[in-house]
Amino acid sequence: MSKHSDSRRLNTPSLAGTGSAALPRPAVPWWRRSSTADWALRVLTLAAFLGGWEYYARGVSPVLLVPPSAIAKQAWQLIVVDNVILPAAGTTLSALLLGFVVAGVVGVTVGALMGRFRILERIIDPYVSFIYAIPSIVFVPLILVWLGLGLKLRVFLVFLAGVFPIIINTMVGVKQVPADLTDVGRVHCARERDALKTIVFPSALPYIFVGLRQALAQSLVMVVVAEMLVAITGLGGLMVTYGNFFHTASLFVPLLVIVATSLFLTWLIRWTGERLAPWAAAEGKKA
Amino acid sequence: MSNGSPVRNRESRGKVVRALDRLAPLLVLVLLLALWELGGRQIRHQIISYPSAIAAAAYRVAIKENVLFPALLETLKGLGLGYACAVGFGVPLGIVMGRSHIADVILDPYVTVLYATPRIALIPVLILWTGIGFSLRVTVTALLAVFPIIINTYQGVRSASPNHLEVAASFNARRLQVVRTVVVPNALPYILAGLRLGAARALIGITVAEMVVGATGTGGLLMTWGRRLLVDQLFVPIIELGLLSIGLQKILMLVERAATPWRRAQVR
Repeated sequence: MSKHSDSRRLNTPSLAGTGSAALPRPAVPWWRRSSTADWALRVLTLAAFLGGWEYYARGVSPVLLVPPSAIAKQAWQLIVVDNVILPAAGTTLSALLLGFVVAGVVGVTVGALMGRFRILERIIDPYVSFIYAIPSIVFVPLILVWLGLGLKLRVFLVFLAGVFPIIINTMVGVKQVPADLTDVGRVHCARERDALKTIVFPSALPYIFVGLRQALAQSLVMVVVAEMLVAITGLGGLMVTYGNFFHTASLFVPLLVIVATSLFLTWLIRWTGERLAPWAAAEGKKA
Repeated sequence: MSNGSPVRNRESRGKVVRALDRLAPLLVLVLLLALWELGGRQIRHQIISYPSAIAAAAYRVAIKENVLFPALLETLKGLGLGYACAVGFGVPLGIVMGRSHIADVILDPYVTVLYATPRIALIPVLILWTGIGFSLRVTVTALLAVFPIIINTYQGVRSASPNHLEVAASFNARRLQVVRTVVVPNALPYILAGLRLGAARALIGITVAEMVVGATGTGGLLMTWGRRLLVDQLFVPIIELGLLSIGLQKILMLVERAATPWRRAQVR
């Protein structure tokens, strides 16, 4: 089986290097997995943490650390009164989503072709592996020379960061279609197109979604880095600007928006994946 | 035999096809390089470089000007220290979270949230706290590398067989003894996989830190040469970092094989 050698390259913690050792999780919503006592403990420690931060930060220079209350006040100011956060988030999200959609379409197509046709895998795989191994951030100066400073640059960088995890996971998913299923298809004289639509694609779907989730993580890093490093727009650009002016309270606002956005998008992809491929979640196949 | 089309008859593949299978990647590589070389020579050399120019640039920066290797050494210093911190912090924390329910309940939300967010975005905050020197590069590296290590260690610890744990308990093993003799050996494959993922993240961390805050190390070279539009030189650190990344992964895979021989027996 080629399964093991492939799963080595999947970058999910539970799949990587451990073969099929991912733990099956009960299909209970996360907030019900813990008891009330656990939640009380969580709330108490969070309160203690924030309280300690508030108390400590009031005695420190506001350049180094600001108390949570000051951050909350500043968040209100920046989001509602000055209205600078939402337009910046729009800039960030538009580059992210454009690049991510292109990466999804290209990645699934290329990955499926590589999984179905051995010759294509042999030809393309070395490049995919090599470029995927390079931290995609190092391409920023090169792409900057080629594409300039605009939206094109950020979209392409997001695409570049996202496309390889999608290719690799799709390829593994397509190759891993259980032989039983393809045999049934053959017995029923399925044509290539039917086999793709009814057997290969659904069977690869959980893998594709793992790829999409990894891609999202990489793309988010990329869009923020691109904004901080070269373009100075969007949420990353705001952070650099506030940082340069040592405006620490403002600095935390785009940071928290980035955190919230990435949590939401990760959840959205997981949720969609569980809707489209509920059997995978039940089998504990996913990371 | 999970490759290829399930509906097509695989027996019809002849020797010619198999030979083509082996030759095609090489042919495509040669073709691509030739096209790139020819195309690159037509277009302005500044913007799209070509293989021979890149090779010449590599010779120039590596041997004649000798800037490549001192920069690499600087990168490796930050990478090594940051990664060591991540391992030294991440593995124990993962074990504690896996063994202690209270630690798990308290810390899990923070680990999950931080793991899911682009921690690169913390750089502007970290600059305020650590300055823009060596300590920032180490911090960023450690911060990126530590989470896959924590999470994999945690999963490995949680996967310990209840039977083994019960045996240990019935022999009156103390907590530390259980950890040392049952939990850690069982979790070792997970931990090592986490170390490998962490190494990839650490490399990203050190590169970004060098690119964002200063003209040091390999990331610094990238930014400097990028600003001066030296595209041929720019390819050299890119390829160098690619090789470094692959080399690190290969080394850690060898470590994995050497440290967990029983898994090799299972796989083959």
